[in-house]
Amino acid sequence: MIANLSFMFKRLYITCLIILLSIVLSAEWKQPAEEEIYRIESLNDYLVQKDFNFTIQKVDLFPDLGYEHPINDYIIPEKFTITSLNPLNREMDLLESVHLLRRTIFGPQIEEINYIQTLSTIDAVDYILRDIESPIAPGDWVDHPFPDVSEYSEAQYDSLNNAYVHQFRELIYWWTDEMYYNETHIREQMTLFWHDHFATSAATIFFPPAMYHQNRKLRENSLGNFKELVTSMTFDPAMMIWLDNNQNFVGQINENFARELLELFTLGEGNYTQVDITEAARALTGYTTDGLNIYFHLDHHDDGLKTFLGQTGYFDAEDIIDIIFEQPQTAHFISEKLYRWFVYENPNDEIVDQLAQIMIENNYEIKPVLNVLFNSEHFYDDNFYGAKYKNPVSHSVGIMRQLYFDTNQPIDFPYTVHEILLYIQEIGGQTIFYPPDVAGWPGYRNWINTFTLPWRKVFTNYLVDGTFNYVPDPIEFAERIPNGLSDPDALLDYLYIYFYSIQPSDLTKQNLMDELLAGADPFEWHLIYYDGAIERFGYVIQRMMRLSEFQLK
Amino acid sequence: MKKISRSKFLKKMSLLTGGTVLLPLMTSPLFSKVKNSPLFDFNSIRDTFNDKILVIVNLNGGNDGLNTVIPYQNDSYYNLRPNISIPSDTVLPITDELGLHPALTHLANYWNQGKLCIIENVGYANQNLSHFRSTDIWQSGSSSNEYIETGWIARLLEQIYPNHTENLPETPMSLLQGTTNNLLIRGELGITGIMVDDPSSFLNLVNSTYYNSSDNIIPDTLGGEELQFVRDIDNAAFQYAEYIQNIVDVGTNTVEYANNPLSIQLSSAAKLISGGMYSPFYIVYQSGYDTHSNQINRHGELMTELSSALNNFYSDLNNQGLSENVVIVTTSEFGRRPYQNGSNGTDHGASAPLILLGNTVNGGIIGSQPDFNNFDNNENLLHEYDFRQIYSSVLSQHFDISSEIIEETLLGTFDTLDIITNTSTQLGDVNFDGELNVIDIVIMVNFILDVSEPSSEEFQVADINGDGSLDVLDVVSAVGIILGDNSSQRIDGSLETIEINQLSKSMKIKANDFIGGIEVHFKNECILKSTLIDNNWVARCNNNKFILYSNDLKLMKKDFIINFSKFSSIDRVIVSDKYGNRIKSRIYK
Repeated sequence: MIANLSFMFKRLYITCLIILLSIVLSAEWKQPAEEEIYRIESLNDYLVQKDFNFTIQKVDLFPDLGYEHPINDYIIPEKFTITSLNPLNREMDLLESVHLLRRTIFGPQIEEINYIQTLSTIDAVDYILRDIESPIAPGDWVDHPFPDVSEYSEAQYDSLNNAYVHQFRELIYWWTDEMYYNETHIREQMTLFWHDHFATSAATIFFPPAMYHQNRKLRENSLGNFKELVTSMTFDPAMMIWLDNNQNFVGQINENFARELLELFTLGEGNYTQVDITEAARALTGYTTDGLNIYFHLDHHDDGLKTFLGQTGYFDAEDIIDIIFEQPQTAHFISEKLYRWFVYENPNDEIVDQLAQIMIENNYEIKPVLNVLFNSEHFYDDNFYGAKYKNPVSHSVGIMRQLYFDTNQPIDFPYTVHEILLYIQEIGGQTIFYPPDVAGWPGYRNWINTFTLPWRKVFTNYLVDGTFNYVPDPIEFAERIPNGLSDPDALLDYLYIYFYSIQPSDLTKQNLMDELLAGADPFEWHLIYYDGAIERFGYVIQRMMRLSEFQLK
Repeated sequence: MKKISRSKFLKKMSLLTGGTVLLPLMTSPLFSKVKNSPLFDFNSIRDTFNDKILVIVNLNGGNDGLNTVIPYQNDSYYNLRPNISIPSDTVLPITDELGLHPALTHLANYWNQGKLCIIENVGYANQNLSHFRSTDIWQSGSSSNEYIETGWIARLLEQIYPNHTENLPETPMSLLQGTTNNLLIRGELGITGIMVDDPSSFLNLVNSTYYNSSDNIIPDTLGGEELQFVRDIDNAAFQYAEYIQNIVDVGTNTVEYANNPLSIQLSSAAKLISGGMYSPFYIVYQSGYDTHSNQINRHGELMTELSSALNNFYSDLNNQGLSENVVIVTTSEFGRRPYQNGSNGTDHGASAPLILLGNTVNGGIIGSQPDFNNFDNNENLLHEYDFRQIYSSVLSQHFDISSEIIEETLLGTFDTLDIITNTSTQLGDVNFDGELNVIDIVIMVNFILDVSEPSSEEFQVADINGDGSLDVLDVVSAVGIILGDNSSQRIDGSLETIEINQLSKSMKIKANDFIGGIEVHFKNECILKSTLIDNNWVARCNNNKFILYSNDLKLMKKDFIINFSKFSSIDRVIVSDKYGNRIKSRIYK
């Protein structure tokens, strides 16, 4: 009897210990028995067991058409511009101001354009790159650890899943709001850039706190130091789970993170060998994560001699990063990506070289590079007006900003504005927090095909035609434009610059004006007082958003 | 990145526009122009591709071939995958060595009907283990170390339609259903097809959103070139939307499809085919095959979906009499590792089987079962067949494309495999002259008597009853077809009317009303001396084989007597009734 009791206590003690340990450690070393249902004892188990296709429930707004979208490498036109990185050294004209804003902000608003116009080029760029405060987190849940689910019932488990679904939505809406309420700052554009660069998907990392914190770090470091950012990502829980560095132990090497670190994050293919990958992987061994914190285990770390990129030593993770950043190629690689994001898909090698130089001279600080780029005459080269495509986020959030259609606007419609935006972005092929794979979104012409293009235009139609039972006030809108209420030429001329990087042809403009006036005398026309003017103005705006020019920036 | 001169680029990237044609607001642009163009022959798409359709089902993520076509008798398979192998008693066996995943029930049925062809160990040398790169390799039809920016289907289409950007074909040259990659149809000149997700709402979608510039003025800048691209997509959508709507109005589905992405895509494709839209290529996909963990459940679900989706599609077409010209093929960027990993899944692998389904597909397995003793450098399965061999075979056997065009398309030549037998070639039409007549019978008899040797295609066609051997049963069937008597009744009872007289070296067949032909194999050579048979019966002898058959399947009017000058003991006898069925016979000596 007594023997049994002590045996029971012992068992209880051991069970507790196991549970405790498994919360802290990854449960990777436990192979479940064949017949046993896969027991969830840690976040890792949870994620591994989860159905990887568990994405946010699709909003059933329109017929279910949200499939995946093409990725490919187009034959890109050759560059033939002669402008250099020399500063513009003069004031920007209206088109140039809007160009700067279009490239750095989602959908620049009229007041923002007006303000930037008052500044010198140098001051304008400084303003867009200034230091600003970080946003508040979307909720307390961002710091809630993964609970001990070993004793959870079905119901509790379901409830946890649902909570996470809900939190992911909150997260997406939160970031969308940051983009919308952005105050003439490049930060959200940069965060999206880094999110695309260090692409990590919530479809796998189905643990919202981890995705939130990764996003927070990307935002906080977005204009900081690239090396610090890479370090931060190397020790980021979401990234660690995503690329399996939490399953990388001495004697059981997993190369996934090491490979992508070199191939996608820093050096680019062709600048290292397979051996470098393996050696880096060895140096990166020994880490686990519980989704919020990183833990290092000396006994699972490979502390042997390694040879990486020509150097030999008893390297650990930080050493690997140091060596990577001793290679000029790293500056080159990221400078080229920045160029392609902000200027044009086909990189200009001389310009990229110079940008890389600036980055190296500034110890991998990102701001100086962007500062030089946005001040340069190259950035305002005619060739690049309209040479970038608005990605689905930029297109949808951008037009809402430009029409002053608030993302938190209550509408009398089965879905909220946030839900609609999410749905449209999904159809377009870009859901934030859900990149298709670790290489991010392919972008460029891939956004536009016979399927996605009509859907973009359906969305912009609906913003203005009353489908959502709300239309932003056209009079308030036109009032912001000098003489916008009474002078149809002033109104449309401003809007052409407001909406387009490439101006429509004279014939198109004529047709739009005819549509607006519908036979009225331009001197008699007035948006408020002329019969039917508001209605026609609505049609004209819709048409303007459907022109091909509108897809470019 | 490939760089070409700007003027060349501008010309090449002019997608689907009429160049300088002015587009009035909201009206249908180029259609009428194209219709009246003397340069374009509307029948040519169908003619060029023989009215055939290829449906490519891409399994995105890397399908685990080992758990799809399972070597269920192979211990290595079970040793390498203790947790995720499929138990041999649940496998659907198709040969002694290989079986199908238990969820592929419909495909097993098609196997039994001889409509399923499985090609084992398909891959390429120096397997690339990256999804994006390996997908590019499969879709561009390139080697592992080449970076080709066009798709193999596009290269094919652009040879046949070098003017496709200026002269818009009436029907899209290929149709992609929301795939993850349109490299397949990306050519040098432009995109050789369209992407449509839901054909039935496409017209509304496009009509409610079409609004393009009143003219096609493009600034001479890089931005201008991107503007041209957007405009062209706009126009493409607009131009095909109405056409597709008309097709959708007429087309129909005769079965109920399941509610998953693959089934929905296939139901659209079937509807379009049924409505009369002819595109030689339909490309659909199924996602989720990247089973790094929890493979049994996830892969099992995918197999279930795949089996029912293909079955729905095939049955739908079959019901509408449209299945004859359609072949379905599965592709995937790679297979998976033979070893399981630590998460009850598998990591990226190399070669895997590929499956074809269709009436004209030669049922069977090509290749041997996976070899667990010879792995590649990454400990993955070696390939036996390059994937381009399958492309080459399909192009020549299904579409009847010339070898020169195939070589240009695939950037090289690749040995074909016997995958498809085109039965626009009629069974029995052994000389492929489009007619089944007495000449074919004679040729067939020559094959049987070993006078000449059939090629494998000729064999397939001559073997009318599909039993794998050429004999008098096929001859009588052929005669029956010629005479228009295709009924396949059986006659019960045995024929006890063949008498062999060794001494007089003669064979006597008593008159009866059910015999259609006789084939006799002797142990040694025989030589015919004389025959006493009805008119319209033919007796022939060669070496040790003798055949006697009727050209009119009428009743025997008298006893037949066959005299030999040389004769030996009989090895076997095949007797056919009037319908090509084998009947028992007894030989009296």
